[in-house]
This record gives sequence, structure tokens and C-alpha cells, in this order.
Amino acid sequence: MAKNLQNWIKKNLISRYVMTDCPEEERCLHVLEVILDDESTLDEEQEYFAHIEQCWTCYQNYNLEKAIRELIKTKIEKKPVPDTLLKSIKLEIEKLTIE
Amino acid sequence: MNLMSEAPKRQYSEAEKAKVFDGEFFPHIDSMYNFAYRLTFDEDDAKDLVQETYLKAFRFIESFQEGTNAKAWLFRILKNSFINDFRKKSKEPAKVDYQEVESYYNSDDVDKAITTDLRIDMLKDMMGDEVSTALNTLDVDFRTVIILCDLEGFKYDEMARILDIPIGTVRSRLHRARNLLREKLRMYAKTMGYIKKS
Ligand SMILES: [Zn+2]
Repeated sequence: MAKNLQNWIKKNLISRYVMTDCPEEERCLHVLEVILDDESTLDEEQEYFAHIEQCWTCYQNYNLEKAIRELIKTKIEKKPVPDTLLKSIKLEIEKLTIE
Repeated sequence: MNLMSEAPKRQYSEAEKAKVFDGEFFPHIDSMYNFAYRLTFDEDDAKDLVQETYLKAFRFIESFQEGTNAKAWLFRILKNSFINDFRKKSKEPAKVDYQEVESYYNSDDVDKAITTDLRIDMLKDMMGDEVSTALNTLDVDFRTVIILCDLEGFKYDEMARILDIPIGTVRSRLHRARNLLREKLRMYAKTMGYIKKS
């Protein structure tokens, strides 16, 4: 087999399954954070999602981070505003208007 | 408060003021009360803080530009009021894991993007109380950025304005805050026996 072809297979087919250690995990985690915050560029996103299809580590990080965000959003209870608060604020504002 | 200084002033009639309050300010009372409560951990203080914020908004309404983000404007006033008037007397919840977190804080690890042995299946069993406790025991600056970003959905530039810090600082503070929060969730998973003590 031609050397080029061998390299191509190694890079594109085999690595797809054996890349369990990410050489750039730290950078990937930073990009992930920006993506989940919806502050990333299109390029960053495309590059990242192409990467996690090949990188098991980052794929797992992606799922974990997403789950943590979801956890924060859904599990933290909202405190209901006391009924009287809005009324008393309006009353105080009225007093300021009269002054 | 430099709240008043930066924007060109705009005059509001009484009727216009009422319209801005009903249409743009009062709809955020829910988010503001929750933010205030997560800063003070006291219902009465939270009420006072929200009321004070609205009264300031009324006094300084000339510096509010209609069509700009009212919620961010109000949150900024609330945050400043908290720092000036409430921070000293607010009761922080007992920090049970204080030392462990403190040493983590002071290590370089906190800036690194870390992965932990936390797994998704551990998160599934966590209750709201546990997640709230993890958030509430974060230092107030870290707690604040998580609330603003993850619970209230503010963008980095809005957070920079609310907190009067550069966007780069927003990002690094958020990153630290998330690392710390993740670490707290991990410690919780450890006490529940999901992660073996090494
Ligand atoms: Zn990777």
C-alpha cells in the first residue's frame, strides 16, 4: 500500500476510534464553554463539532458540561416573589412622585 | 454611583415613567428578587434590595435609554446597591467544605480547564437542594457570574456592564466559577459514594 494511503487511513479512519486522549483538551474545554454560552464564532463551532466526532475525551466532556448546565437551569428552585412586594414598591414610588 | 454619568440624559414625563416601569421594569421583579435572594440569603433583605433598586431606577430614570436592555440596567443598580449597602450584613451560608475549597482556590488548578471523574449518571441523582448548596457556597463574585450567565442568560458584554469589569475578566471569572462549582458537585458525589476516595 502506498505510504500516503496508509497515512490517510491512519489519520481518518483508525484515529476516529482510538483517539481517547486529547492533545488539546484544555483548549477544547475553553472553546466548549464559549459554545455553550452561545458566544462562539461559527468557525469555532464547526471546528469543535468536527473534533468531537473524532475525540472520545472531548465528546464526553461535551455531554458532561451540557448536563451540568442543564442541572443548574432545572434543579435550582426559583423563589416566588412575595405578593406584597410589587404593591409596596409602587406605593413608595408614589410617595416620591408627591414629594 | 456612575450609573448616571455615562448615558446622555433623556427627559421622561410622569406618564412615560409609568409606561417604562410597567412595560420594561416591573416584569423583571421575579428575576431581581431571586438574584437579590441569592446574594443576601434573607427574604427581608432581598425585598429591601429589590425595593431600593426600583426606587433608584425611578430617581435616575433619565439615564435609562429606552430600547436598551432594561433588565441589565436594573441588575446593575441592584448589584451596586448590594455592594454598597448589603454586603457587610448579609449572612453567607456556613462553609462546611471551606478548607478544601480554599486550598483549591489558591492553587493554579483553578484556572486550568479541568476534567474530573464526575459523570453524567451521578448528576441525575442530584436534587435541587444539593445543586443550590453548591452554588450558594461559592464566593459571592463567583456565585454572581453563574447566576447572571447560567440562570439569567446574560451575554458576556452585558455582564461586563452589570459588574463594571472587562469582558476578559467576565470570562475568566466564569471559568473559575464553573470549575469551583464542578468541584463542589464532585465532592458531593464523593460523599454519596459515587466516587471512591483515593
Ligand atoms: Zn479532543
